[in-house]
Amino acid sequence: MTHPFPISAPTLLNFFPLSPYHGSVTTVPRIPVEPPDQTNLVERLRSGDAGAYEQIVRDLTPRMLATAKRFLGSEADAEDAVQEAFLSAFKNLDKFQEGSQVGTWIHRILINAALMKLRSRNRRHEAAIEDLLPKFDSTGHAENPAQPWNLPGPDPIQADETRRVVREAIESLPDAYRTVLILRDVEQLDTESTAAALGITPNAVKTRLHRARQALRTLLDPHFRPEHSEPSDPQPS
Amino acid sequence: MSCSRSNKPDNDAEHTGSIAVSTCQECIDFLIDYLDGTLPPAKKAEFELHLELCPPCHRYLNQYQATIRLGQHAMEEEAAKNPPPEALINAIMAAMKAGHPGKDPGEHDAPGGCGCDCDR
Ligand SMILES: [Zn+2]
Repeated sequence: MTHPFPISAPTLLNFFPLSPYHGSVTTVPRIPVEPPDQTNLVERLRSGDAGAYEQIVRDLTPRMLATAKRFLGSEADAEDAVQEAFLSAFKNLDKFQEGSQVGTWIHRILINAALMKLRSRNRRHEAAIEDLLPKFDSTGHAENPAQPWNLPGPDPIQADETRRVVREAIESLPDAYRTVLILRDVEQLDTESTAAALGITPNAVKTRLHRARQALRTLLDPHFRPEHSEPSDPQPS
Repeated sequence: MSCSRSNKPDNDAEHTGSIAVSTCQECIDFLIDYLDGTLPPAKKAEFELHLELCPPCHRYLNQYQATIRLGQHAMEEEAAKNPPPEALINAIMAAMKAGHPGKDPGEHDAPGGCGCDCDR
């Protein structure tokens, strides 16, 4: 691939609009993107206040690192993306628009950095998503109708195990689908912002998101079936 | 099956807005629009009627929503647990001091700028 490294700041800043997502299916409380104390923060950053730089780096890094890791998998790549995002943001503080949230602004730069890094690296072997989508017969009936799930209860050990299983399933999705799922369902960008970030049409975002969710459901199906029932959907190859 | 059947062997499930939600395939195809609240009222009514008559599609809808929540939980919890790695914080602060943002103007006063792409 031909993307330069490190990615230039103007490219990272050339991002999608900051419109909030008001979808109907996002219910998980969010970890705040914003640093707790924003009093004069941008002003202090612009004046070169070293304490302000360190404060914002400390406040934002955990969440940014977690976000970058979702896209990139590798810890080292995620750390690179976070560093690039901070450096890009700090040297472009004059482009920060007053009235916006500085944490959200840097977080968007981070998402761009992670997406560019993802595009620039060699594609790993990816299973076709079609194998994970529901199949229908010629009359439109599901070949393997959905069977009941037993979702785990509040037991923390079980909950940890469930999170591990779900994370692994998400990581196994093809890049094109995983990125849309993360941008829409986890980062909670709206369809238009996701389309702009990925350079695809809003319709393509919707199609990919629907397929990604269906594929993830298929991957999770065997884990949530009551014991002794046969899996109905094909497993990933 | 308890859901209404389309007897056409190859029904044309294009999303033209004029086709009834008569098969499970159409129902599953429309799921995302239904959850986004973008189905026209007539289509939404057909969709809900199908769900009422078809336990597998109803189950699929519930599992689709559960999948979204599970994905969010799996990804969100991770961020809260981990403190920022000191090595990374130090690397970022060091890279910054090495000549990028508005730190020491003196670092950038060489003729022709500092040689990096930071517009100085
Ligand atoms: Zn059905």
